[in-house]
Amino acid sequence: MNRRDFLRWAGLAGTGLALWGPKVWAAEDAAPSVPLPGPSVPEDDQRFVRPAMFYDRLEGKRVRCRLCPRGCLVDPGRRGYCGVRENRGGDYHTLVYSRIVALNNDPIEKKPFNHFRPGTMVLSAAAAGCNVACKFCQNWQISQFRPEEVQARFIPPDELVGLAVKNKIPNLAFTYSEPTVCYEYIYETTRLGRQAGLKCVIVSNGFISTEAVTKLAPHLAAYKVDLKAFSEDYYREICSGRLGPVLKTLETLVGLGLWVEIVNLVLPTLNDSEKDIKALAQWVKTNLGPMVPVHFTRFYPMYKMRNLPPTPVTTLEACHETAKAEGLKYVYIGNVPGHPYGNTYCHQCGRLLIKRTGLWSVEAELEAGRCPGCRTEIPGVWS
Amino acid sequence: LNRLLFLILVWAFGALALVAQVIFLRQLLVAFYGNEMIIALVLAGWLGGVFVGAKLTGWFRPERGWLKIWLAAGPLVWLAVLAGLLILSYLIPGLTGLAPGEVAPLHLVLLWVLALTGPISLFVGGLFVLTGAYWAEHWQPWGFGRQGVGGIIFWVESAGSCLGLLFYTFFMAGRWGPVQVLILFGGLVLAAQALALPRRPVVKIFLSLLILLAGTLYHAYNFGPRLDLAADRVRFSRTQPAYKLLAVQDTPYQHLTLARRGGETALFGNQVFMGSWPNPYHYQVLTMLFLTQAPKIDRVLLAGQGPGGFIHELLAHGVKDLVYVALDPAETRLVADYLSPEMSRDLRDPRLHIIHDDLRRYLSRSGKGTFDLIVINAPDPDSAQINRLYTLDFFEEVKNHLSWEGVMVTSISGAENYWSPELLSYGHTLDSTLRTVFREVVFTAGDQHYFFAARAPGLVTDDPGVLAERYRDRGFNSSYFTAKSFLVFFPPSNLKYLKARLAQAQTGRLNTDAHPLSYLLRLAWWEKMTGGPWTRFLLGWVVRIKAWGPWAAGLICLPFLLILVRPSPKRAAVWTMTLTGGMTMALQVLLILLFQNRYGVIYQQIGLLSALFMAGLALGGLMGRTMVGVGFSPVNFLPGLEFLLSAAAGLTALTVWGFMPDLILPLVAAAGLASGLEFALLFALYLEDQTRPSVPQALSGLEAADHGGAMIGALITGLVLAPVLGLGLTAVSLCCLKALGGLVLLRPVHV
Repeated sequence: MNRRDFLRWAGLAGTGLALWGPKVWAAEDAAPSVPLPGPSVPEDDQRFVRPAMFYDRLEGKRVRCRLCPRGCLVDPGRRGYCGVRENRGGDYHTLVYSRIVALNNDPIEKKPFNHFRPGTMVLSAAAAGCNVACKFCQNWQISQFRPEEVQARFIPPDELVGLAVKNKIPNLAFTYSEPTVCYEYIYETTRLGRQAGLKCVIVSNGFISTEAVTKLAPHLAAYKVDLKAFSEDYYREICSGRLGPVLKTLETLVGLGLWVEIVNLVLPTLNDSEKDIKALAQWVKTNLGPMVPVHFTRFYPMYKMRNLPPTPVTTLEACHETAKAEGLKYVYIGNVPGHPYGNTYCHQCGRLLIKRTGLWSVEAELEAGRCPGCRTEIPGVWS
Repeated sequence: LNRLLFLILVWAFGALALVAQVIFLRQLLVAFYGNEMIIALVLAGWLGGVFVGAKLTGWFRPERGWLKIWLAAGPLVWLAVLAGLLILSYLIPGLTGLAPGEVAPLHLVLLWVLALTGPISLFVGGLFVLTGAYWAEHWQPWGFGRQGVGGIIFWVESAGSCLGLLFYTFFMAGRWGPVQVLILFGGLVLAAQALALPRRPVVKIFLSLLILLAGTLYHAYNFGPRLDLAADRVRFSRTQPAYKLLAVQDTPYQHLTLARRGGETALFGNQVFMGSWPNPYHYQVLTMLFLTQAPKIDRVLLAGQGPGGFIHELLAHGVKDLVYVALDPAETRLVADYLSPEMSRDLRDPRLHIIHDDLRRYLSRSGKGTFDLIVINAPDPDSAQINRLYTLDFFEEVKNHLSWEGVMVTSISGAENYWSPELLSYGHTLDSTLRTVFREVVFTAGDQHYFFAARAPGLVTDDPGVLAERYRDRGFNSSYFTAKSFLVFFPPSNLKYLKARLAQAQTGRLNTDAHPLSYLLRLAWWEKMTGGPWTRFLLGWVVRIKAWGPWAAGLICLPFLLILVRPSPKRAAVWTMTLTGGMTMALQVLLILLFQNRYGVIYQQIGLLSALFMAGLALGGLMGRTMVGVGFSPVNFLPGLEFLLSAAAGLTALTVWGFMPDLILPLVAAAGLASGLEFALLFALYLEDQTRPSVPQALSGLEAADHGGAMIGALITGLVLAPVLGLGLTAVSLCCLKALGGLVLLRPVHV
């Protein structure tokens, strides 16, 4: 070894030693969390891996995913855009079956559903991953990373259903991240949940293939879709997604008779123009009907959009008025606790039916799904 | 060429270079998110540019003819480049491809740092070498021969930098915008050049008058403020295109912008969103939450971002005496002009006392045990400066200012449903630090975690039922908040999860003044959030470094020092200068952190601290040149200097540990003095090398070494050494490093 070699190796060894640390002194946590049952499991646990649904085998062991409109063409050993489905030797697999990263007992208003069993609780679960990349994602820590980068617990479908039943939680939701990407798990869990008497709901971006959503729908009671904007540009630049397929999903869901509510997160500057809101309302009324609830929710600085101010309340009020003027009957504004536009009023007589001051404060006056004043049937799932 | 005029030109150039560095640092902080990492990157980018510029110029071996052309055209080209880059710095928001309000990923920031600071700092490095070369050719005898050249150029340039910084800090910051500042200092360089370079007096007079006339017209027509305002308007229209700009102001602390959309006024500091109003849905809800935790609310201290929200709500809900502490008086004044009449009246309410001071400084000077509620409304600790408001020492001070039944509120951003390991470390450190000081601590779930801490038991609670009862009993009333709203902040399911996560987290270190940690953990999380695939986990790795890691690395790298420093004067000079550059930069960072912890963040004082270091550099350069000139052998003095620097670092460690608390200013000056002295002596040593290097080569080698070392120091001190080792151990490491350097230099150097 000459002097140059010695210096090189000494430098490398020094750098390596400085960086070496078998255990992280503060960032390590392999402990169970509550209410997630069981210990966190190794990243490569084969229990999470199941054959995927909705894909085509192609030449050269490539596969074409048909789960969402992205239609990823995946080479062997690679994953789709969502990062949770992998081509293993020409067979496509999901890596997030029973791989739960977040589990909470929330009020149903938090999803938000305003016409679906108000005042009830919902066991809310999520796996890692998403098929879009919104720059304002509230749950970016679980949606924008690969499953092995997020600590998870193994909760098979029957166990999740059992948890809800045991704790007398009447609803089960797949939410926080994008449920579509852990389709196989959700399909099995909602099937079991329905058998156990649970109402299963999906909180999704609606970026799913018609084939997949049609197969899932019979097991579901409601579907909330984030219609992020009424502009292809916005979808492309802010979310890395597409508007067209989301609209198609909404039409499919309503066509299948599922209870649907729509959320539009209003970001100042980016999707709050009157023109866009008007077009959105017109499309909903024409294609889904005027009774579908639409929530215009307030944006707060989040994730990468940290320096965009919160949506002015007057902007949300303007969205509300525009949508009402276009003929939608149930328009709400969200994330503004105590605002009168967060309440439900009878579309016939205007009587206050459900008063909301925040997510947990719900006072309902409905009588078997009807307005106590004019006896008009109020659309929704009230039982 | 008159040598005095030449030195004035060098002096003016030094002043402009330093001011340009400050201006571009501020421009980049406005363009991007101004956290510790960005500050380190910008500083390192600048120093790296000087390093490359000096090195390249040395390689080109400038000839006599070229030197003249360079000196005549160089500053002019440089000024043109400076102007172009200043314009570019205002156009950044539209060129990055980011959405309005979007935080830039690290690789993009790095790219812009290099693009903006690179060309300027390259020139600075190059021009230093060239001016020295020119001096060596013309006035060697006056400068005590060849060996005195390094010292004289160094001290004149440092003196320019020192005076430029002082002038900017005390007369321009907060009054003049970037365009005006650079026009003034650019004009100074042009005037110096007009006086120095032309041979014929007529031309000198003509050019001077021309510059004087231009300056008069510029001043008479108020061009400067107009240009600054126009530039600010252009930048804001590209940053937040849909917002109507109401007002803009540069203060010593930040670039403030007020804008309006949809009836709400938003405040930005360095383009970072700080708050908007009217927004009772936010402020009233939080006020209800805060007030319910404290059993008494007679006397309340609110720190930061009060006008437009919290001041109004606190006064409206029964607070009898409200002390509002804010650092930047300009911010309060600016916001006051754009409040609703009702909120404006609040600012004149006799119950409100507005104090413009650093919060820690205010607490250290005010009476103890008097507040029923203290609300720390600070941003996340993204920098070592803000980290001061999250340390154990600070919380101790806060505790001492609470009445027995007093409650403190602070907050960090977090996540509703999942705490990643990075967030867990960050949250756990704050939780542990608070629990070390206070008897009881509770926190909320949600995207923003509010921590409530009390010195007495049974005050703060996360039981929504108890809080609801308190809320009703105390007769609070709000349109946006009910007794059930506590469930939004303390949802049992989420809290159970978060508590379990915290309980299972390994015991980490606490965040203290002497060992600041939270800002690194926060940056690691921030980096994960904004980083691309290649830059997502850089700081995640730093978090994993154990305290003994840098020491082990140092021990292993020891052979480098032994082999590289000893054999020749040239090598000894370059490596000693590199170590000194890095060490003094690190020492400066440490001493500024110490100063901030002890005396607060007052802009002028921090500016004075940096100027003091530069004054030390200038004086050291002058002394070194004189010593070399009268025949002192550098070899005899250098080990002593190394030990002096080592002692300065050792005393810094003692200062950190509280043994000599008032040594900060003398240490800053001593570090500068020793560094300047060393540059001059090492320059003389370099020239003694058997390869017989030329003056430009020596200047190039040492300037590059100095700035290369400083670049590394700027990068690692704040981001790695301070949080991993703590301030004390970092100072001890520097002490050992320099003592070792001294020992190595004690051995004979082969000339």
